[in-house]
Amino acid sequence: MIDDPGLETFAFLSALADPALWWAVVRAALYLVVGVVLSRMVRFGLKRTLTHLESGQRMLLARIAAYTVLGLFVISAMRQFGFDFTVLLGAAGIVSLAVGFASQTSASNLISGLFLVLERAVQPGDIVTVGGRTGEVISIDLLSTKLRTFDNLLVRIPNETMVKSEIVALNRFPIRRFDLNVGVAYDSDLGLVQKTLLDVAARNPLCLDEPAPLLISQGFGDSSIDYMMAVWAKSEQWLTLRNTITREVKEAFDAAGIEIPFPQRTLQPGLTPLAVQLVAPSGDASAAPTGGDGTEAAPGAGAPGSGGADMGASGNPGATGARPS
Amino acid sequence: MSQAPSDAGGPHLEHPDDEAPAVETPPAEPSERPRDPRWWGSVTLPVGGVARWRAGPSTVFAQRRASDWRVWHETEPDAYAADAERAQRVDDEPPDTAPSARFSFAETPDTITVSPSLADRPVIVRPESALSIPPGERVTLYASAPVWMALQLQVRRPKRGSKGPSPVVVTELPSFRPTDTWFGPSTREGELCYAVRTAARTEVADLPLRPHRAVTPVTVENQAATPMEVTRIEAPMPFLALHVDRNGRLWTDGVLVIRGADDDTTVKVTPGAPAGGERLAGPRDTRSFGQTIGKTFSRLLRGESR
Repeated sequence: MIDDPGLETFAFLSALADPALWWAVVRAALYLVVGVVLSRMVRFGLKRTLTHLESGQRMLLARIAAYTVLGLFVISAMRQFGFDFTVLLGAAGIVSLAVGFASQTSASNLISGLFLVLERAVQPGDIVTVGGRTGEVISIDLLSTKLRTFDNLLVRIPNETMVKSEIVALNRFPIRRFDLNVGVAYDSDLGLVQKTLLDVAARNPLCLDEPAPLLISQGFGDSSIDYMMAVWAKSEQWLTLRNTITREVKEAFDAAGIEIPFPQRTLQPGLTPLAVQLVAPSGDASAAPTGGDGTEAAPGAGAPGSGGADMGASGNPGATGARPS
Repeated sequence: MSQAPSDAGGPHLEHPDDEAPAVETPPAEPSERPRDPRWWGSVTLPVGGVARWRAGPSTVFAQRRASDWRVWHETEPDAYAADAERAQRVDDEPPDTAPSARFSFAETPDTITVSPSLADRPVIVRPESALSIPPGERVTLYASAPVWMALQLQVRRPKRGSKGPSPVVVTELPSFRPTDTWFGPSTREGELCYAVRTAARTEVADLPLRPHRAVTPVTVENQAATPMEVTRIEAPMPFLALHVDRNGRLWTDGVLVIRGADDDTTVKVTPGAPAGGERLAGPRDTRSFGQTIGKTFSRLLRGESR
């Protein structure tokens, strides 16, 4: 050790005067300059040559290649000053372990982001549903993917979640199908029902003629005979088709006298019919229900055994003045 | 700005030609001559004037105002209403509804022109009944498709090289909006087209004269050893020119389809209308048809021999 500051200064100046040091500086600078130029050339070259890849993938690969080249040249430059990287390499394992534990989540997201970009599962501009949220993919960043929902909220989804989740891309393909479930009353003319539905599909200009509209019988439901009408539209016009064709089916059914029934329930009282007694609303004797011929209903009407109050028919539960006895 | 034809119009059902009324049905006119089906033309209007065009189910009103042109487009529910009315100034008030489009100018040009144009997408024509062409036969089918009504105004172009105003298509309105259809090998690739159903007549004399439809003659030659089932035909409308014959019938360029002995299909455009006539408009797509044939039209008769 040199304790004397004067000697220390002298030693430093002597070292500066050493031509070998300056030569090392020149060589290191040369390495750095060449490294920077070469990495830029690699980046631009890859960007231009990898035209068959998506822009995100191209950018990613170009950056990785450019930073690798630059890193090698920086290491070479530092070696000119006598840096020994074997020590660093030895410590690298321990450092990696520590960094790995500390940045486990970030590293996971980072690697997931790489997979997302390389797999091309989603791309900016896609409309996707992830974890129950639907929106447009704005960007796929280093750690997260950003969605803009249709109510204009920004949703940041970690790339790890994106990789683990089921992603539904709504506009990846140019055309899309809409399935409309509709039930018709049991007394409907099913031939007329099918013709009406297909006519509606043929009349709607957004409904594609091919793939042809599909009509699938879903069987006999509790209250209706159910059909599924599957029609195709261009993906951009899917929502418009969905809204228009629902209205048009209702209008066509109304015009053709086809009923879309409400859920119905038939009550069977067993062996003995339920008795129904008609009573006047309290405090208004004049509004007492009358029989079909204008006479006041007999108090005993609907008594067991009279046969006039069978609840077997599907009745309106909101009918006034009727009450089971 | 030109409005895309695909975005305009209301819902209609396409019927086969056989079910539609023919335009030749003479109207009750003193001359007992059929009305001239040429509905297109120019009208010069003063400020406040209204003009009207009628082509099949579509009626277009245009009103010139001091600072804008207003356009109304009405479509009858009957897709085969076969009226045709030449461009004329009318004394009627414009429709009471809001205009379909407005075109603003510092000073409105006084002349508006409405002319027919072909669809901006290919049209898939489906013969109503199955059509089979035996080996060695060559037949010509006539398929018609609706035209669009292109509105043109004189627009001042302050660009270098332009000398004075020049006509510009400001909007295109469908005389009849055909249904969309998908044409491609799968639901993942293909292209959006229009779909029409046709009787695919083989005699010119049988063709009804419809003022709002252009007839495409498709000649199919089957050189293969097996019969050829024609289930659908893609008429490459963007590559076809529009013509009008002496009777006022609209025609497109012809299409020649040759099914070779080794089952390959060649498609060519044969310029000109069968009966000659006047050329009204050139193709929308000015690229050579041959450049895109491999991409789009090699599958013109896809579905044959199914």
